Amino acid sequence: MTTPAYAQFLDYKPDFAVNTGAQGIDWVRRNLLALKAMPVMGSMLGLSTDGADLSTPDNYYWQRSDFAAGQRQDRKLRSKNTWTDGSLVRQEFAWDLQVSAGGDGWVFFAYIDYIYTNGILATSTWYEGTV
Amino acid sequence: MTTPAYIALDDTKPVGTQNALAAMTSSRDNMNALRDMIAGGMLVWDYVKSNGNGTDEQPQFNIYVDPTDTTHWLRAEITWDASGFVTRIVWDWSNDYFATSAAIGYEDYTYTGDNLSLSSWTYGAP
Repeated sequence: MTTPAYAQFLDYKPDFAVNTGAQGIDWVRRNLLALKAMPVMGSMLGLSTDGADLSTPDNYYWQRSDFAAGQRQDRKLRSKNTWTDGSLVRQEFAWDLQVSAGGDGWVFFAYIDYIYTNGILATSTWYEGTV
Repeated sequence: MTTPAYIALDDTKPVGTQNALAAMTSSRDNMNALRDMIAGGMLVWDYVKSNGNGTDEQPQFNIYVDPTDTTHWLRAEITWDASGFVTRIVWDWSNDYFATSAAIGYEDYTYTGDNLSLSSWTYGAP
């Protein structure tokens, strides 16, 4: 038995404009299987950072590393970080479409706050929406 | 209401031969199982370290096996630099205990000082 080619996660599938119902259902299963691997394998997106001190980066960015001009739009993600005394206290999450021109602009949609007791994470709270 | 039995992730569902109602139910059940896996850190994968050409601290391979699905194995081949940083991970998968395998992709890591500043994912073999 030969291992077949890996079915990578495709964020534009299923697409019921081009897939039949049965094809669409099969795409759901393939994407679910790719998602199942991500907790150990990572998101299969490239990560970049910015900021003056990269031990406390201002932002994390995740996007496809192999994106090429003219390629189908894809999703990219951003975490805008707030640090206090070296501890991450807030992440604000945004998404954009990865297009040739660079994107339409970040849309923030959720954030998470981290509270520490004696320097140890005690609680985190997730919020839908913006700060 | 009595808590019903837990519905775990089913790799074989949904499938195009199901009727619409069954496929939607399978999709919902699997999405819930995935959410629980991620939120609770309940990884379904067994982990096996294989030192290969490396050491206990810097193994060459990490292997992940789904004990409920022995046709789905993942393998990470790790490259370490002299400072002990991971500079590349090459992923492949197998459905036959790595008698054969197929490439998934690889990720290169760049550091600024001691901080990871960039990673780049590429599908396929290096």
